[in-house]
Amino acid sequence: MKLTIDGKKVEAGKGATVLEAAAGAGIEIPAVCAHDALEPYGACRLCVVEVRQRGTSRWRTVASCLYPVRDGLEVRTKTVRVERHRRVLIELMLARCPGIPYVEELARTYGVERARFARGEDDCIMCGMCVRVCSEVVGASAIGFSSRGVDRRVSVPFGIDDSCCIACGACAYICPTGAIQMEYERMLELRRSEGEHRCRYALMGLVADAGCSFNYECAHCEVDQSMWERYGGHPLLAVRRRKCSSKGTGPKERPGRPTRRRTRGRSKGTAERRTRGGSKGTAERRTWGGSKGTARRTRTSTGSRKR
Amino acid sequence: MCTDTGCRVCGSTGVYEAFVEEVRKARLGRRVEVKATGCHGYCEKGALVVIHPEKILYVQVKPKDVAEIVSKTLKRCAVVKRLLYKDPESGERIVHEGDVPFYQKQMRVLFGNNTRIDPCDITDYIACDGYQALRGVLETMNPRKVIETVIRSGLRGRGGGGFPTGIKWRSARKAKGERTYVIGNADEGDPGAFMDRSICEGNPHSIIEGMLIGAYAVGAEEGIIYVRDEYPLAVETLTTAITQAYECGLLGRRILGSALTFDISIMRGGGAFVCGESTALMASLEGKMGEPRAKYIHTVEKGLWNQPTVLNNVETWANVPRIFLHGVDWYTSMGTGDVSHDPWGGSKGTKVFSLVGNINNTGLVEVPMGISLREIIYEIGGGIPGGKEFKAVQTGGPSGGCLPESQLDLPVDFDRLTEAGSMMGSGGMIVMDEDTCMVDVAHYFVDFLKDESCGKCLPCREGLRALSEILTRITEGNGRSGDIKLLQELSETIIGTSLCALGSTAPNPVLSTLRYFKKEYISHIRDKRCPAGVCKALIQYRIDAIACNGCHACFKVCPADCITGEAKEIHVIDQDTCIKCGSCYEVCRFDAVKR
Repeated sequence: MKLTIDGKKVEAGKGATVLEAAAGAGIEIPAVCAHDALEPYGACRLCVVEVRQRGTSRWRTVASCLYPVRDGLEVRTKTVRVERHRRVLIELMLARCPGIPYVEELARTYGVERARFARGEDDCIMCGMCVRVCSEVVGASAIGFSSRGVDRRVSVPFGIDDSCCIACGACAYICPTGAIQMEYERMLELRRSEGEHRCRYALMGLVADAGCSFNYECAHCEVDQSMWERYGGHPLLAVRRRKCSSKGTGPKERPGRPTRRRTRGRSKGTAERRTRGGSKGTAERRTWGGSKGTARRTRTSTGSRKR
Repeated sequence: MCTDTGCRVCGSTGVYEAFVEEVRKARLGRRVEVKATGCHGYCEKGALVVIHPEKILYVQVKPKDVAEIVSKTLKRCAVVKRLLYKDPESGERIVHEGDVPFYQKQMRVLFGNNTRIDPCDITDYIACDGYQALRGVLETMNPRKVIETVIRSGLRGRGGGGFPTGIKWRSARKAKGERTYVIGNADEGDPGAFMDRSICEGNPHSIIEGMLIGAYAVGAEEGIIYVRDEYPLAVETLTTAITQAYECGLLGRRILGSALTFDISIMRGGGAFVCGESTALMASLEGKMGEPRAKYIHTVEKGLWNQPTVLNNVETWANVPRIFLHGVDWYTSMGTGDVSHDPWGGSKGTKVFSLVGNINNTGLVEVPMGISLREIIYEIGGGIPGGKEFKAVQTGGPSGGCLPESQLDLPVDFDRLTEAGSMMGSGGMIVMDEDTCMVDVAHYFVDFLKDESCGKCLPCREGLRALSEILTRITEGNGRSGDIKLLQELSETIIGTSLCALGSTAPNPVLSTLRYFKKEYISHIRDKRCPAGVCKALIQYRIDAIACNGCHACFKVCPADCITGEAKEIHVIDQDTCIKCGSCYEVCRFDAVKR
């Protein structure tokens, strides 16, 4: 497939999206809800570009993360119209989530000084990456969306059932704003609980079934350390990303369900979205079991990836 | 007699029972058949009774009137004058259904049989040439010819998009997949619209027959009708109709002796407006959350379960048998434009509108495409009640635009309505009189869509919230000078970047009112005044000391006890405690209460 992006001739495999083709050619298009380990979703709309198909005269505004490449397609990523749309979208995001460093940084990059709309006090931008990583990569589907429209929230089923969560931490890792965190209090409870503790990397299907001898103090565990060193990020996401890249930019298929994921009835802590000042009262952002190492990795790696 | 939901509310069930009882008592059972039918359209005058074969129309019939109808009309062929329709202008009583102005300008292609068919009896439908079109298609046409015929007829989707149905079928036929699905969309959620419901409740077999022809054309074996669960009667009639069609061998294997195999099942929607959108509907059918997805790869190629899927509105499906029964030339004789070379070239056939709001004749009207809005509103609808002035008409449901008086001569077709900043939509038509505040109307519809947005994409979720906030601010008298520009800028982004049609059409009410009623926005923002006297924060009721004669009527109705004054003295409204309900304004016979 041969197409033109901002006047530059680009080749891409059949089934690839415009966003992937642009990334391959070194052309940057902002996208908040796109991640190379996840299926395209099209929620943030920041990746809008103008396209014109061969033989037509009309320029259409489309989301590049979903738009499949076609032969002879012309793409413009930085027109006045596109930039204006992006700025209004970022303004809306900034109005919803003021004071979130990730959003503020985005606003600075695109020259948005302040939001002209009423300010909310959310810290979730609804990119849906946590929900998708949980169902697509982890295969646990422990979190999902509830309600609709402005009331849409990320939550565990019915706000109570967390038995599907295997405490892999992928959602907290992938969250760009830090809105989703591993629940600390529950971890303490679990540590105090009786019976055999199983290693959470075994629950993720990454190591042979093993017990946990560190009482979920993963920061002190060499399995945890070796995993992160080996994969240079969250192991599950790294595994998935490798699968993606080995396929090139060919047509995407649904990933096979991970081999060992669900531990129904054996609740190992839960990931839950929290807004500031929420009932749980933990404004402080923590990740898995208070492990400082993981927490630090979460922030720096997501931050650099997104910028 | 009509026993559709509208007439049921007016007590038609009781009227029906009374008729059955009275006919039995009068021993007319062999000569008279009492039939409960679907919607006749004239819901304003329910419960409706039509006596065949003369087609004598009785309006607003109550159970106590039934004995008189039976003894006079059925036994002695005399009309009951007081139950006849009375022309509001001449005061003349009109005997026959066809002479009533409401029906005169209509062209009832889909609804014409409603007055004759019992929706729960398949033999009634068959007696009205039902399933003849299907037989003709199966015996004389191959699927390609069926698709060509539909393309030539210029039939376009009645759900709102106006996409040529035949082109959709052709793409589905070409698409590769293990199996093809056919879906009838009856998830009608527009406020004030009930066309789809009335078709499902009044003539369900026309939908089934249309889907059978469609299934034959595209090679599908499985069909689904998606009905919203708030339509229990529609679900009931459709279920009965499907069961009867199976019993008659019109569904199932080897239909009418041909190789066609087709099954239809009913799925009930969970009450989300967005599930009327094709991809959200399919997600909902798959058991997922009702959220749309991008349609860069069309649903005719990858729809339900990633298989080729033809989704049409039930009104579109009901049109299909009529085309094959009466021929393409007959069908293309109605409507606008020329579709012989390009199915996008015009709008053919008829369209059902639900005419509601400030209008004398509320109801369902079926008119040929190309009729002007003025004809619909003044000739069929009978104009605005109370001698008030017309202000605007909103077409196309909540995301349609509001058109002013100057656009009333616009011919109603897909393209012309879009050009004027509105849309055909699924056929809602809300008429508004001079006492309507257009900013308030825009606010109402944006609020509705904000609540019904699925929330998946940012521009629709956050953008509509912001639009609603700005409009609230304006109607509360806190509008700022840059607000109109901000509304326009925001609307443009919502339209340009939203994921599905809900978002990309949602700002239409705002943009169209800004286009045609900008003055009202300006007086709200700059002068802090609501010209129509609707926005509570911007109006004040006071009593004109000269006109007030102290009749004490306002004192009695005031729910907030904020009016002081003795009988035969001048009354005064306390502005601090007034809740601006307008009761005093309505009750004053001397025009002393001013707004």
